[in-house]
Amino acid sequence: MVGTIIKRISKGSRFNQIYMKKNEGIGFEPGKSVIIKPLEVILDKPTLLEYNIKLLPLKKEIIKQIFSIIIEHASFGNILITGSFLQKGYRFEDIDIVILDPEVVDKQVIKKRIRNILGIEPHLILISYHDFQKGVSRDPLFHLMIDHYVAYKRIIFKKKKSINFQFLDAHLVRNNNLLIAFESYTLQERKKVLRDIISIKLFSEGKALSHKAIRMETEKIFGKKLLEDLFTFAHTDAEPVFLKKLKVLLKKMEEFLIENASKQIRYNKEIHRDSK
Amino acid sequence: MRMPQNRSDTIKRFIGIASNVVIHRVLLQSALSEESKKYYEREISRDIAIASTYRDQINPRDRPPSDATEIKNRILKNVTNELQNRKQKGYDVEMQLIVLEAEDFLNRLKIT
Repeated sequence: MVGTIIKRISKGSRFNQIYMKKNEGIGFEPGKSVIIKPLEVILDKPTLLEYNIKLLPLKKEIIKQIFSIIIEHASFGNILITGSFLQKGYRFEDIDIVILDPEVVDKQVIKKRIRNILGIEPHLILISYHDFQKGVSRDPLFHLMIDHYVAYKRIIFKKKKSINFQFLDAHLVRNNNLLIAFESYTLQERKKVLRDIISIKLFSEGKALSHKAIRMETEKIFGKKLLEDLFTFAHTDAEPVFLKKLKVLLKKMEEFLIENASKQIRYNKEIHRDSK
Repeated sequence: MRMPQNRSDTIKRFIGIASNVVIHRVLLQSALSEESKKYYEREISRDIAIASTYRDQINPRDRPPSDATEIKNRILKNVTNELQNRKQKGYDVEMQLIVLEAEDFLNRLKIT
């Protein structure tokens, strides 16, 4: 039995048509129903490469659809899918899509189509490979993105860290807002800010950075029970205890970062002076 | 824990958030390329959304309040103190950016 026959559509006066020779293929006899699809749709099914993760078929299918939409409306170097969408389960709020080396990207159309077709809120990040790699080496948030990710084409990132204490201090300052406005953050936002804080801590201490390492460090600092009370059971009694611990942690981290930034700046100046 | 009930507490929190955002932005200005700034701008938008929940509790909502100058001065004082402390430790801080960043933030939230 012939599985596939490739034919060209001929232009007719009233109807366009696809011609087949008689007895051209078993299974293609007159009266049989067939599906017609443009060849490029059949051949252009995007590939998907998983790095340090094994996704469920449904999530893979969603990602393939996202890739198809982007391919249709952009030219680029590569696409990465990162963030909470890749975590177990379906409790993600949005999907982080990194378009590397973007050339022409119809951002609004891509966002609209992903929203309409898949019902997911996309976060598009357009960045050059060079800047992304730079981010991975010096920013814990970027570094965490490549803990596990899905790519359209094969891609590898260098995981070597380049610690800039002043830069990390700048990020930590923002996260102090969790102390000031804890009640204004949603549960997901609280988790995200806490994850950012701990990732800055591990990164600045030169430790390995992964989702697992962050979970273990967070439990070590706050205690598993307190975190469960706060994030699983939403016990309001746990909030003051958590905030007290968080305040101490942020203060210690700020002192550590400023102190090391100061040493780093002095050291760099000396190196610069000596090289002259 | 509940949202603040009185105006002075709301303003105090608003000033705290605004100060942190301005410090963050001034410290990052010289360290990032234009492309990267777009990424971090998205991160900051979350802080601005949080700040706006406090702003909405400060009357009048649609125009600058009568104590707008005082609020602005308190933010500038906080930010200057924090950044001055870092400058003394050797940080390369463009102090002239403080007023620009503070005004940008306050304009977005209709405080000035």
